Formats: sequence, structure tokens, C-alpha cells
Amino acid sequence: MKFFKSRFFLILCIVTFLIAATFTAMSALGYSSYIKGALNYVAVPFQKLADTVGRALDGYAAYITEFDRLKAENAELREKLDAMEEDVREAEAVKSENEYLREYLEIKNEHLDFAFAKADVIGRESGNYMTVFTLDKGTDSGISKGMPIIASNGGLIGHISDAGKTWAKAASVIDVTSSVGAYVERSLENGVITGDFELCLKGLCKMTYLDADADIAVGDRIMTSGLGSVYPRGLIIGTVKELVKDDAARSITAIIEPLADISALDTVMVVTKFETYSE
Amino acid sequence: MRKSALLDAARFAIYAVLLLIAVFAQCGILPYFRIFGVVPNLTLAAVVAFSVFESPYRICIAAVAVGFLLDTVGGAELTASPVIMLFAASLGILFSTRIMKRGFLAAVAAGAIAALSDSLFFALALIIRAGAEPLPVLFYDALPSFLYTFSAVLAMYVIARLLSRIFGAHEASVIGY
Repeated sequence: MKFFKSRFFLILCIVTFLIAATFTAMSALGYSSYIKGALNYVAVPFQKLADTVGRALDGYAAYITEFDRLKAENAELREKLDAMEEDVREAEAVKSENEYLREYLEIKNEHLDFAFAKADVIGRESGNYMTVFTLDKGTDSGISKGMPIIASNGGLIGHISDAGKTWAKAASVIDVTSSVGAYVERSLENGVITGDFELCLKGLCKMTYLDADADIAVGDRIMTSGLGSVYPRGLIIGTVKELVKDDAARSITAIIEPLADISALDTVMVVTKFETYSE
Repeated sequence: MRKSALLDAARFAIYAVLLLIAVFAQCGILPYFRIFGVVPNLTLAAVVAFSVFESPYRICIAAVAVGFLLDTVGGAELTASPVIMLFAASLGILFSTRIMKRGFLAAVAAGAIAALSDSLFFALALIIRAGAEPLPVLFYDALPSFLYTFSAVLAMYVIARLLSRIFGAHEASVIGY
């Protein structure tokens, strides 16, 4: 232990304590020493250099030390974003339903004898024609085979061709198997709306059994006649797009553009109850 | 001049430069690398690690000098670092020359005591001067500070050991004083 008993160590300890006490006292009393001032003057460039290096490395340090925090924050923000997106989706769904119900109310006011069941289209025919589609409601919701289906704008879509407990198949008016009694709203000329292979690809159907001299023109509105009791009277089927005369048969065929956009249906109304028409 | 004296001088010069770098790194770079909000006492770690391989006289003077520089550059109101550095250097010398005969264990033991004393000293100063609650200060300041500084001692020991392999250790640490 020679070193610790040496005069050098003893003096060094005393000097160190004195330096510490003196400078602490001076600092406490508000005096600054020339020694500290000079040391700081010399140290400033080195301090600046160290600080520059520190700042340059700061980003990397943050990457290491704050990675977990940033990761957690990112996850939290993602959750919030998901929740907000969900809110927006819900709001859009509510808005869409609101519009639907508004239109539904208008139809309800026009046809006080109607009872409706709302259904969503959950599937479509896989082929090119898309004239048959699947609904998410069935007999449990009061839907049965033969019931007419209308769109929210009041346009006739077709009828229920098959129904299970929780599902139903709908055949549209442009389907080749479809046959709907109809009349021209303006002139009351009667005819039958049927599907056609060629026309259904374009989303159209045709009105037949019209005499060659029938009072019908392009733009006329075609309504359901209610004859046969399958459809109620007065539902809008569509408008006349084109007239094709058959001189040999002395008849006219009207090409009809349905009011309901069959290719873009998502929600429909099944008319579960209506008063049948009798002449 | 003998070759060993030249190597001795070169080693001390490198230690001195490293101590200066430690001071400026502690004040300028490490504040950006806070872990749990604390900065390690890199200068203390360097003093302890170098005292295992260096002449007791030279390292003690260097320790007091860098302690003073640290308080000056760091703008500390309390000039306590010269005393703390001298204490740390004395621990390193004591452990390496009398108790464990230089080496890793001496640095670890001296480093642990020095780092703990340093952390407790500043925790005590914080409690007395700022009226801080003792338990939070000990748990959130002294403990991480001790762990961080102690880790720095180990890192600095590796550097000191490497330099002693190149330049050789001072004879004091070999024969004991």
C-alpha cells in the first residue's frame, strides 16, 4: 500500500478536495473563475464537434431505443384507423339504407295495399345473362314463390322463382322464362313482356302481342297490367326504346328498357301482399 | 530512451486522449443515447478501466484533471467529479495491485463500487438539493445510472486491455505498489 501512504497521494487528495470545495463555493456564491472560463473557451469547439456527432447519431439511437414505442404507437394508430374506416363504412351503409327507405316510403304511399319484405342480393347467375339472382331472405321472412320483386325506384325487377327458409331465387323480367302482362300507360294498349336471349345480354326485354296499328311510341312507359294475378297492376316495367314492325304477321314488337337496373342490384323489395286486379 | 518507456508514454498518451474523448462524448454524444432517461458516466468508466493498467501517479492526476474538465464542460454547479474520479482511480489501483492483481475481476469489482458510489452520490445530491423523493430517485435514476455506467466500465476495460496488449501494462500493476 505504498502508493496510498505516499506523500504524493496525500497531497493529491488534499488538492482535489480543495479544488472541489473552492469551485463549488465559487459557483454557489455566483463567482466564475478564470480557469473555468479558459477551459470552456478551449472546450467549445470540441463540444460542438461532439454535439454534431451526437445529433448525427440521434436518429439511429431513436431507432434503437424507441423502436418498441413506435411499433406500439403504429399498432395503436392502425387500430384507430381501422375503427374509423369501420365507422365510415357503417355511415355509408346507414346513408344508403336511409335513401332506400325514403324511396320505399314513396312506393308505400303510392300503393297502400302493398306489404314489403326487404332483401339483399347475395348472389348472381354465374353465366353472362345474370337474369337470375339469389336473395338473403326466404320463407322465414314471408317470401314465397311467385311474389313480385321491385327495385327501390319502383321499377319491376321480376318474381321469386324459388324459395327456401332463408334464401330465395329471383328471375328478372328480362329472363327468357319470364312473361308479364303489361300495358302502355299513355294509350292503355295491352301486351306481354317476355325475355329474349339476344336482348337480355343488353339488359333489355320485349313487349309482344301488339297489333300493327297499336298506339305505342318510343319513350312510352310500360306498366304491369295485373292480369293473371302474379303482379299487381300499375308497377312500372320500363320505357319503349325501339319499335320493330313485322309486316307479315301484322304486329309490332316493342323493345323495352327496364326501369330497374338489373345488372346493379344490391337491395330489392319483395311485394309479399297486394290486392289482385280484376277487370 | 528505452523502448518500454516509449511504449509507456504512448499508452498513457492514448489513455489521455481517450479520457478527453470520453468527457466530450459524455457531454455531447451520450445525451442523445439516453436509456431510461439516464446518461452513463463514461469518464468514470474510462478512469476505472485505465487505472488497472496505468501508473497510479499518472492515472490519479489524469483522473482529477478530467473530473475537473467534466464539471467545467458539463456546466455542473457542484464540482464533485475530481473527487469522484480520484476515488474511482484509487479503487482501480487498489483492486488491481493489492487485491486481485490486475485483470478483469479487478476492473469489475472497482467499476461496480465506483459506479454505485457515483450513482448514489448524485442521487443523494438530488434528494438533498432538489428535495426529491428518495425511492423514485433511487429506482428511476440511481439504479439505471449504475447499470449503464457499469456496462460502460466493461466496454472501456476491453479497450484498455487491448491497448495493454499492444503497449504493455505499467509495471505498478504487475509488481504491485
